[in-house]
Amino acid sequence: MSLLSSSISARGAGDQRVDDRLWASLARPFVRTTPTRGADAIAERLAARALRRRAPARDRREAERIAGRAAAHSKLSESAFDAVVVECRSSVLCVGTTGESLGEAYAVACEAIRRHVGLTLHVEQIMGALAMSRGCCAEMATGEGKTITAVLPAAIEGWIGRGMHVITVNDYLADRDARITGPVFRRLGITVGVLQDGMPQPERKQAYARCVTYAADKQVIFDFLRDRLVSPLNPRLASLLLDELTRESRFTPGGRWGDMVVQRGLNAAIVDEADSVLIDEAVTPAIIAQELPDDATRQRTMHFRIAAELAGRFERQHDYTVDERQHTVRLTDAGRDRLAGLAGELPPFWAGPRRSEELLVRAISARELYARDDDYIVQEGKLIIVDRSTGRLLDGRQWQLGVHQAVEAKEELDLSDERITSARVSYQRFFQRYRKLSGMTGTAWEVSDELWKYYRLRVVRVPTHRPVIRAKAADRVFTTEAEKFAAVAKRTESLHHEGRAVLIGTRSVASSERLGQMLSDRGVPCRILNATREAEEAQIVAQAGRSGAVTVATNMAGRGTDIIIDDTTRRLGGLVVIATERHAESRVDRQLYGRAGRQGDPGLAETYISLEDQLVARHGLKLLVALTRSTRGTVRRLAARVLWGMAQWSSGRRAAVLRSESAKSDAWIDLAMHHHTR
Amino acid sequence: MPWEEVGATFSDIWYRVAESRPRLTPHANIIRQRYGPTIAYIVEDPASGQYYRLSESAYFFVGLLDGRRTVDDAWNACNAQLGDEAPTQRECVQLLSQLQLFGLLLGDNELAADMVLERKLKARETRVKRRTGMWVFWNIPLYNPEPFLDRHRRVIELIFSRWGALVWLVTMSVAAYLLIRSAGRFGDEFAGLLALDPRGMAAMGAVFLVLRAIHEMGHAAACKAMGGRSTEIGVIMIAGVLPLPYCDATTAWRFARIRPRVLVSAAGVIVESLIAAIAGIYWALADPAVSPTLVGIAYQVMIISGVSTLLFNLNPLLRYDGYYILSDLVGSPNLSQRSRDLLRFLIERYMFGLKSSQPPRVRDRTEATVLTVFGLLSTPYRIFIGLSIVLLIMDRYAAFGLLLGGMMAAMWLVWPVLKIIGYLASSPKLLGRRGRACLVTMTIVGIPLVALGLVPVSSAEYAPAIVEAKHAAPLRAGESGFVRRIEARAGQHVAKGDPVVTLRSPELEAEAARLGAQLDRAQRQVDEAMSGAALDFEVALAARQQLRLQYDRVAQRLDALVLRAPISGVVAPSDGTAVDFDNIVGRYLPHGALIGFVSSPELVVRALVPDRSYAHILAGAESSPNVTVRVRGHAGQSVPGTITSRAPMGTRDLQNPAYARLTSGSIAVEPSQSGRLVAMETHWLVKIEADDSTDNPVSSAQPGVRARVRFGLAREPLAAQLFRRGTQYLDARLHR
Repeated sequence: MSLLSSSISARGAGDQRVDDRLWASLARPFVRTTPTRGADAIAERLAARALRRRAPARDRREAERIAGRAAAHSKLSESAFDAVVVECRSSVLCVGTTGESLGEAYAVACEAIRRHVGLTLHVEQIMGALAMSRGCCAEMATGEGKTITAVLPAAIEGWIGRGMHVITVNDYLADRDARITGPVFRRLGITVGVLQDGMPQPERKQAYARCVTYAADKQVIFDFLRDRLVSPLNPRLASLLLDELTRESRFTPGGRWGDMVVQRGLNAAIVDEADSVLIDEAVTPAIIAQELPDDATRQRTMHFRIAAELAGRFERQHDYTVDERQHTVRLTDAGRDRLAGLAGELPPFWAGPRRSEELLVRAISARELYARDDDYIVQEGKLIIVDRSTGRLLDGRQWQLGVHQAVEAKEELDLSDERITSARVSYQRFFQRYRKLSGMTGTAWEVSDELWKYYRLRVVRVPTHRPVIRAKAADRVFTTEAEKFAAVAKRTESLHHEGRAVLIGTRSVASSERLGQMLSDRGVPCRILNATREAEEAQIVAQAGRSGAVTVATNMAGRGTDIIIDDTTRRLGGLVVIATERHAESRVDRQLYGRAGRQGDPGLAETYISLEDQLVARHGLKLLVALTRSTRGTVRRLAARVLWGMAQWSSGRRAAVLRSESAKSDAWIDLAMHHHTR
Repeated sequence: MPWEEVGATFSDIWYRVAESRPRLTPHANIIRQRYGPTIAYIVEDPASGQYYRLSESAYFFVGLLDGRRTVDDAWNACNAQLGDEAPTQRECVQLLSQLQLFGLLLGDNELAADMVLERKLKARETRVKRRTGMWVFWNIPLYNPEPFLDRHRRVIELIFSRWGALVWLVTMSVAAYLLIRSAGRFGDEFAGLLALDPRGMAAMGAVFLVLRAIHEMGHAAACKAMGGRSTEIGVIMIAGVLPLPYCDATTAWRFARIRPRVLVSAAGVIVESLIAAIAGIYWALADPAVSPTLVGIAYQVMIISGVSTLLFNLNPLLRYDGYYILSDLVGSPNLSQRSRDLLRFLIERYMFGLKSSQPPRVRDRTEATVLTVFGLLSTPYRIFIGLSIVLLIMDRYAAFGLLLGGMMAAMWLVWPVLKIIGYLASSPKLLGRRGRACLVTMTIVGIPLVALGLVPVSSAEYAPAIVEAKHAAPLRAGESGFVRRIEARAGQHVAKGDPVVTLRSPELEAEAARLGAQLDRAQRQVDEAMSGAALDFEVALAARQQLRLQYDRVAQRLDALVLRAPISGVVAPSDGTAVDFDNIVGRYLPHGALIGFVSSPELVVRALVPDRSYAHILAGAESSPNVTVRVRGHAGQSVPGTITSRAPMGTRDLQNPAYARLTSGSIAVEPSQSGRLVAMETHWLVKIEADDSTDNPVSSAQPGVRARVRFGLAREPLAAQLFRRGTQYLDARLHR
């Protein structure tokens, strides 16, 4: 007994244990999966449909048993509980995480949570944890306490000690969650590390060496890429071991490979907001790009600059046409002639029509189709990309293939040099590398087939602890955006005067600014959140439930933070969530509505939509748009419902296709170009 | 991002290949090949027998990769040299990874062993998948013809030389001349080929297999003669049961010129046609009476090779020899895939108005025309052939045919339809044009569907029929006797009671004479007895009475020697082939012998309605089907009629051979039911009378003329009719 307890205290202190070494992960070959096609893909989809399910009654019984055991532990004295912890840990290490020992471990973890956070986990949370322990994605409604739930499965992996990454959507949440759960883990003898942006290399390495690591997805994936850059092209166990044995590295130039990397392999991960991380973010792969001062790069950049400058000289309608719906630009014959006429001034690379038209069209597309404040903002003479799906600023990122230069030229900024990709991995392929992957989110049901297809995650829907009594008002349909915003402002004003708390969700930074302006014109004080300063915003959002508070936020702002309503608000009927647009996927709408009416609180969700919304403009059927515009009453409501339903479905499909393309090209290139796997 | 789809000059994954220095494996062969006006390069991996085709610019790029230059340098050099024709970065990446997958590229990095293994496993997996996925066409390699061909190389080269061509030409012309000369006999024997018993079928199957084997050997031999190799001859098991020999002559791919490639593709047909021609000459010259079996086989050889050549092998619409010949001659490799691409492009661009749809690379107008025509024809033709095969098989093996048909429907109907729906619903290409695309598709598909499914059109069932007399009274000898005289000739009109034939019976005449004499004597005795005792008188009277009765009876029998028409009508001899009674004068006829009929002038049509449609017509009968009759020889005129009677039960016995298919009727009969004609299906006899008795083809027809009865039914949409016919057909096949 004493031996075991001393080993608890030794954990994480100083020297790397065997488990913490990189080669542990290399010892297990990484199995490449290639995207399926044809009948296989259909079978996979059917499997996903068949596998997603509500949490089984068996789980509830099990969870109740665990809750009962935890209650028994609550009578123990502190020292007696310590002994139980040690015993439980050793049983997990010896027996593994099957049945009995898992239940006991969960009971112990529940009790630790009660002692150090002061929360008694309810049965539904334990059910979610059970689902995650089986490698599923638990769907738990907003406000059900996912952060705490994750402690249970994380604790078990923490005891095993091969690395457990709890992945959240941003650094603030990682830090907050680690701070909340830290005392619990410490009590259980588990060390906790947190990754934050800008942390130096040694600290990162230390954070990864901890039993449990809290981090944002970006941190983990970019660390992975950076590690790849300093690793040999084909990381192999034999060469790594040789490397560790010898003094000087034979495989990497800058020193010993094992010392240069920060991660120690990808063992297990729990992904918070799984749909957001694994699905939404997975459209674009993670890329490390560098400004390489070599000749080829300079040439490339030169061509992009030429294209960007040329694009400014061409006239819309005369030289080219823009198809807003299809998002394409086409040169007219006049434009072609003009380009051919310019050939004399241009380098020989531009001589023929094929390449020159392609480069020019791309530059014009970037000018025409990328909208300021929607896709990017200009700050201090610099172009900063805005993440379309989250509204977050992606400082330091650059669009590729000349798009960035073309937009810079449009904004009359200094053209930056193109950065060349040096390492890249798609989200799908990165998360496939985890040996044990599980997830939790409020909304996974709609994307269950993709979660299964790429990550082999089954969706298990966990019931809410208390029934949801949030009311959902019928959608209000407007013809123009101005009418819609006016109605939202009016409605907000009256709600504000009633003393209710209002949260307005917007799609873009621009519309939240606009709405904020309209509200302050009406004398309604409001706070605007644009997902730029996470920590502050989380605090603001947390206060959005106060009586009379009006908060305008983009979809992602303050995500992961509970809005706790005060008594006045509760008496008046809870938080009112007003969605000013339907999102491209109905899942995201549900996330927004979920902010009201958490844990059985009252709440109201309203949706204001207009025929000028981007979703309808891009994906709506014209026929239905015309029908909605020209009718009134029931017909209009019905037409609008079909219109938005179809548009959401269509845009969802499109996004899914994009993701699948991204995964496919990645997998294929990986297979074909195996001697270049960075 | 939309431009990532079109963007090609610069690729965002270029970094992965830019600095590497790969080169082709030294064992790869490169062959320059002419395809019409374009030049292509074939990279051949002799180890795996795989080929990869490079365009001229791609070849330039690959040629620059020597293991010392980086990919990026090679690309820049391409740009400097080829200008706008240079491959884009994306094309280069694609090319390199393809070559890599084919194992044709050596990287500058150490080639990891597990990667090689992974690739090998992958290749095996795809092979297994192809095998299992293609169980409909399951290849079983059997024989390596290479040693044999090497041994007989001289002969083979001679066969495919100018002299061989001359011999072929001469043989073909002789055969053609002989066949044209005996074209009539050729046609006669064809009918016999269709009514085969199982043994005949097996023999035909064997002939077919031998012919195919020779055909495949022809390919292999031609390949050898042209300098290639062919190492595999085997059998494709179609649907697991039907064996079909095949030959792997893929080395013909590497021939630089078109002529040898075409020759290898055509060799099978050349050799097969030579065999067929020899068989034809034998068939035309040999005496079928002397060696019927051999002549029969020769005939089968001719027919089988002719049909398989025209319908399958030389037909470019199926992917057999003709397809490859066409694709070589036109100079467009991968014809079928490209024609599909072109059609899709045409539809997307011009019907869906999708301006962003990219056309596949097409050399010139001619090629575009060939591709379009090919694309438009090949699918319907394939479906037609498939359907015919299924129907042919169903004739004999109903369940198996049904299974095959189901599979074909799934492959050619259900799957494409699902794919089209998927494409319309979710193809990102259609963004913004989805509405129009759906509308156009719905219109194209919908109009025929509406026309088929909703618009009622006249519906009818047909049945074979024969025109017969309404009443036919038999003309029987009332008494035994010799024919004395013909009173009314066959075809002559007689009134009821008119004598037709008179007989002579010397026996009866003698009997009558004897009885007459006796009667006279008896009369005399009566006269004498009148004066004598009363008792004697009584006795004499009784005796005379007795004799008179006897005499009367004989007189009646004598009278019966005159055969009289039982009804008014036309006299017809009993033997259908006899023109009149002349040949029976003087012949003895036993009592009751049938010598002919007197048939009434009113005619009736006897139709045999097949079982499968009988119920339907019967149901229609309540709503009085609109019956019309067409008599053979009066094609333009249809005579309205009415059903007068129906047989109480169906039969398979064909009383009149004129119905049977063998005698160019329309009812299929069971083969080998010696003597009897038994229909494959039960039929119901229905009698129909023409409504208007005067002056129409029916009333003026000769009895025994063939006719066709049309039972016009209630108007019904075409789809319902087709469905009914289909179910009737299946019903007839499955519950025989």
